[in-house]
Amino acid sequence: MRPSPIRFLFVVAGPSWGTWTVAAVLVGYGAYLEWLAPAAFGQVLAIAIFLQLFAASTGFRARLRSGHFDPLLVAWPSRWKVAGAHWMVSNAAGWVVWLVLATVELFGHPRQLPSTLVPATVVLLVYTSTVGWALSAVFGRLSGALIWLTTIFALNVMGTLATLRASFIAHPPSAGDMARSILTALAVPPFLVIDPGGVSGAMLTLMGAATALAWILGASAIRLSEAALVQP
Amino acid sequence: MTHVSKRFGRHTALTDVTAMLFAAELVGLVGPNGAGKTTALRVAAGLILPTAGEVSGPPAHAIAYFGGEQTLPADVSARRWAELWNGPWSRLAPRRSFGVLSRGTRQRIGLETALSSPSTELLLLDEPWESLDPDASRWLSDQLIRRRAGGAAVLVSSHRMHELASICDRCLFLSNGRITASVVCPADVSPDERVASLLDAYDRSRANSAETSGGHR
Repeated sequence: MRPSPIRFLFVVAGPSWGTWTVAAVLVGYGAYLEWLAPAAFGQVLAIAIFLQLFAASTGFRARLRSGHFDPLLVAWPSRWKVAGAHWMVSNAAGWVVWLVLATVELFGHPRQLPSTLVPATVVLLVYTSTVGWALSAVFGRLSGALIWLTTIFALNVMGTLATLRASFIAHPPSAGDMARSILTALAVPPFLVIDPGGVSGAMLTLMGAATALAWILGASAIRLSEAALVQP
Repeated sequence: MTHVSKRFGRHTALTDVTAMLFAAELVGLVGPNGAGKTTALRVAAGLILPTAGEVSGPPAHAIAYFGGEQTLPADVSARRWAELWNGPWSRLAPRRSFGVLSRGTRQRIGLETALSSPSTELLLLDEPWESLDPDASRWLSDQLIRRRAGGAAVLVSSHRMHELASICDRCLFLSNGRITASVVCPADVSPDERVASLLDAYDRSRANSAETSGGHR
């Protein structure tokens, strides 16, 4: 009997106990804030996104070239299917945390739509997860998180981050301003939760399209990776 | 596989390899280190696409491949790995991760996994006797003979001439990425004679390969 790709990948490359422990601590912090300082709940979302960047940057090639995926790839020759399963397993921890935080919010404010489930935050989660996963599928484990954080750090050092934030918040009167604000959201997506006033429908649609493109990039990297063994 | 070649950048791992495997046949793949045995097996398993040539065989779910204990993930519990295949032996696998188990135990668990499906039509094993103790070696040889009797085609790469001579129907010799000889292992001679004929074929294959590459230079 051959195991399904998702089951196989959960055992071989699924979230570690360390990841689940950090996730549990984060959910505990979320529950604490929801109980004592609900206005500060956004902090938890920002931390969850930051951690998800690392959790989703699982990489593919190192394990592929060590032969860890051999039984999976022999039994399931469709690399697209394998890529889909790898994307889901890589993102699983963050998505579970997100859903648990939504439940915590629902308990705190039963009559309100949880901030974790409004379109902007859902798009933010899926976009950052997918881009982090795709970059690590191309460049290796953790590279997604490191590339992104280095970019944001560099923008901050150059003083560009504040300018970008201003263009994100400004109500864009022209197509040029709108394009700038969308590019800002793509480069620094945490603005979506930090400044929800700057979010627009067009922005979310384009971020959805960017997510799809990132998925195709990551899946193509998985499809084209050569399963030649590299001896340790 | 027919006229299969495989290049990794500027390095050519296989050159115009043509090999056929039939049902209920056990074939050994012999060659020096770096001859291309692992690449040939991985191409046959569908893990690597050939640069040229064609590979055909049974459907993917009827192929089993094991590349050796070093391909098992060190951070995964042996029990969880074994449970993926639901074999009756999975209960016996240790709960500890592969990284802390002996090479022999890892090799045995990997082989149990590869041999777990009774519906396998093509079995591809890379150096399967490595790290096994004599009991486990005997178990493996028995399993391979049983698989052949069940109609499976089995291809094993190995340096162990005695094991190959005792169970294989024929052996293919690979050198510098080329098949240089195919030798039938006669059933009506003594084990020592079988080993001697394989060693003789190995030496001739190496000499032929050296002449061919010398001629090309």
